[in-house]
Amino acid sequence: MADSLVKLIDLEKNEIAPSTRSIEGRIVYAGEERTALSDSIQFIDYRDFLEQLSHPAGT
Amino acid sequence: MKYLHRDAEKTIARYCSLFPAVALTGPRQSGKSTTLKKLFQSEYRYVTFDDPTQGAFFDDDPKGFMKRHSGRVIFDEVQKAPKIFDYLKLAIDEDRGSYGRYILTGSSQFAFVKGITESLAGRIGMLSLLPFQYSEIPSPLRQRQIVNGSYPELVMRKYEGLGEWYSSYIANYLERDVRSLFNLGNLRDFRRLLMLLAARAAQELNMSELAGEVGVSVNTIRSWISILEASYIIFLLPPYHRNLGKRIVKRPKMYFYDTGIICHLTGISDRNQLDRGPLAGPVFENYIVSEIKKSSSTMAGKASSTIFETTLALRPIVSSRIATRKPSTMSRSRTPAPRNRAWPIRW
Repeated sequence: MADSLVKLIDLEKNEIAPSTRSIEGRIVYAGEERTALSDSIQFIDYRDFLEQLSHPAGT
Repeated sequence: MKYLHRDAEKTIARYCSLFPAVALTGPRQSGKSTTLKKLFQSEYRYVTFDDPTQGAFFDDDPKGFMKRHSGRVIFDEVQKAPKIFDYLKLAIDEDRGSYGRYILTGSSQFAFVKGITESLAGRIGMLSLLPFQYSEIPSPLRQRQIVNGSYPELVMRKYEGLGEWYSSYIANYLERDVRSLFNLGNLRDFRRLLMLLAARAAQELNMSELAGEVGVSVNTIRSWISILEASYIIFLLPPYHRNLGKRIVKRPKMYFYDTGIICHLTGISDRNQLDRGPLAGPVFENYIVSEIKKSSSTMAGKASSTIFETTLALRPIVSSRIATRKPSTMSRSRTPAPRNRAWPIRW
């Protein structure tokens, strides 16, 4: 089973300086086998993520 | 003072319809009393054991005290009157059909767990109210949350007097909770441990190393870590291993409930200072994990169907946006964690 990698970023900063510094953190989605981390990296602004923590979709 | 609504309000009200008694725990100053007064002021009598006359009344005449407060009552700071659990059990058993009759609050898990285990098992619903979540903070102040913290009083005063507030908070915590409740004499070393932990937020907890640096035994560090956990200053997250035994044996990671405390203890006063320093990654990781922790406590009753649909926490939250699965760890580096060294986000 492939894994997915989600990086939480500050989109505002990323637009200005797309460097390592702008990557604020990440969440690794570990599956049964850690075999294909790089095939599904996606980005999400951490503020959107925190907003959804309180109001998960569908609840 | 204006009241900011909490996400936990519906959960608290629901628990009051499910259990004869409800316990609301959480760190000092997380808004427990304020929230309960706001929600139940008209229906419940409010009794706090911070008031020495109430404590003396209960000590002198516990049956008379319970008779005086025979209706719906909020008992605040019950850790100061641990014997009340026995009398609550008697009162509840006399009228098991009455739900939400008592609401108890306290800032130490120790008193509750002991009291509930011995007296109120099966009769009480447990909830935690942690400091504000991101979405509970007014929008203009949200960007300051990671450095300035989430405590309601600070947010309400727009973080004015931040340094003084945290100094006072930590001093009160040490004197009133640690010294009096846990009967701990050596506060100087305990404070040193707290500062060392702040510098190691979101890292593996190495008790031997901490014992060497503080100059106490490993068992003492273990005991002090338990106190910090029970009083909602820090929490531990076990590592993810496919082998269940390893999950238990391997070192957990340590996080603070509030990143404002980390920044205060490490001298970080603003976001620029944080971003330029070595703690930027760990504090950010701690920030995200603590927000997930807060969310899980708020959604307690819905755990199985929303956030905690499985033991892997975030799937329902993020799946609708990014079509991914099985969350496990979080860190600042771009480099993926080595196999089997991932920390599950699950409680």
